[in-house]
Amino acid sequence: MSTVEERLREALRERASQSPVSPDAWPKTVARASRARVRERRGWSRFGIPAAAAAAVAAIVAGSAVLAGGLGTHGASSPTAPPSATPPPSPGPGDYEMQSAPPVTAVVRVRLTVDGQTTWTYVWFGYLKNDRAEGLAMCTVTYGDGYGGGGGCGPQNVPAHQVGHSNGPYGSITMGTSLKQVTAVSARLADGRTVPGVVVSGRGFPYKFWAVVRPASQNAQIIFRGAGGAELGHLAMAAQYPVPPRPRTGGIVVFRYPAGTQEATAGTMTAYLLDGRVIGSRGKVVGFWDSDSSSVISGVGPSWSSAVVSVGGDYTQGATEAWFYGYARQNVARVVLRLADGRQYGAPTIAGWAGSGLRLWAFAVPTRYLAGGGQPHEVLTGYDAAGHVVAQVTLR
Amino acid sequence: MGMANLHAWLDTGSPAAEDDAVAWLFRVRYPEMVRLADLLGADDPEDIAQEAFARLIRRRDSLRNPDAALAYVRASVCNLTRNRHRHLRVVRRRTPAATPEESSEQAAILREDHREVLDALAGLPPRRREAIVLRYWLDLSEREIAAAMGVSPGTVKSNVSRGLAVLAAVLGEKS
Repeated sequence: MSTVEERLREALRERASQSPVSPDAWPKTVARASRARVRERRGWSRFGIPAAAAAAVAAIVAGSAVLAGGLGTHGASSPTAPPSATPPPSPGPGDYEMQSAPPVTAVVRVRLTVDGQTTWTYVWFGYLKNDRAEGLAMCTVTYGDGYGGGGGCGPQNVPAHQVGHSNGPYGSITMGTSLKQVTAVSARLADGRTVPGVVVSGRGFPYKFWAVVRPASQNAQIIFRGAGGAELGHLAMAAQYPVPPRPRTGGIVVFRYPAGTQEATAGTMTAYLLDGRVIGSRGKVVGFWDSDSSSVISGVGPSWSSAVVSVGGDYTQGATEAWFYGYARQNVARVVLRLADGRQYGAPTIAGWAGSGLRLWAFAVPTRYLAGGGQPHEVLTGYDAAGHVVAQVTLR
Repeated sequence: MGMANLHAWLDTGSPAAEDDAVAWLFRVRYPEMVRLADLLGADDPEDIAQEAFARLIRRRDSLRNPDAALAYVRASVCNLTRNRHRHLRVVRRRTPAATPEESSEQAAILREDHREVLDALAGLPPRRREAIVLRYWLDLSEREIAAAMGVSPGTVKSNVSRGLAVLAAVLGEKS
């Protein structure tokens, strides 16, 4: 790493540690979201539709593309979507994506089937209000089967010498743009199966839009074909890893937390040693599951650069204690956290899994000393049995 | 280990769990998002971070993939901060005195050499500054930065390398 990079990291870390964070941010955010929801629900009736958006919405190509029989998240074949499935209303002027990049093209509706459930994706192109210089951005909003109107806007230009482009999967749906000579798209999965996709265009589209429903947990090649079925090109899509299930055995209870600290109700935090492949990593990873089965997983193998790793330190609103926890190398006998005001909290490490070379640690810190969550320079130190410093990490 | 290096998930099988998942994500990531907005030069980082999470709450159904939810919030922080800069540029043109300044307390706390680096960073075009902050503060991969910025990984690479070159020139060092 160059000197500039090192100086950058240090300066950014120091500056970031000084950002104040207010303790009542969550209720404010929830209230803000509620207000926004009310505005959005009323949007169509209370506010006029901007002329460009109205024209584009009117130009929606109803049912212009239907893809059925794709593969769901778990890789099982899904039946054809019920023909009676009715599409949701198209995004309105109050929608985030419509506001980010009002359509300058038609808004095309694409029907897909994910796990037997119909989803509807609205696609259009427009200029990002906050960055027109980026050129035309593609926007998508998807409804159904848990997608709930999620999506986004961004440049999706097909790079030179390529036929198609994608910013990656969105759940089970992989979508992107392709050159206009593409007439068909499919995904060739790592297990040898091929899943057909859909290719559509709309008035004013600079590229065609394509989508494939595929299990994101497999590597895949997106194949683009032109007239006559000739392959024009392909895109490699790396696997995205699903949430690993909580192991049934091998857990070590790291700490027991009272109600209102780690979670609203009392429970235990249990650590498991996992094969890194469950998250696409090499070596071993450590996963922590609390009683609510919320999980935090941290890589150990090649990415483990420090002898002490902290994966906790968060706490619920109004909690009097925050739990800091993690793992450490075999020679770390005690872990201590020094706060900015000089107070120190710590605990001896406990044995990890036989042969793993790991130990586990946890301790609670009164949240009144962590006021605002933006405490600068919380330094975590690992000591060996003789009291020598083995590792030191500044938390943020 | 920084939060950016954590892989964190929740089971989100029910609406209630989805609510919990957003709350959990907020608890774990909110300070990080405030700091990201701050490092990107937002005049009110908390406002930006709260708005980003409020938008996520409105779309919490999309939390089927929590990794995507985090990327969504990160991208929202970048977009909102950029929007805010545009707004501020207009405000400054009309009322020059409205330029936000770092507090005297912050000015006193920052080390001089860090201040020099941060001043140079603030002088970069917004996209380069974003790429640099996401790379060197959050330690994101090019792919993750591309997702946050809504650009291609190639654009990220060029923004980072050009940004570094400018910083090296300003700071009088080799990048």
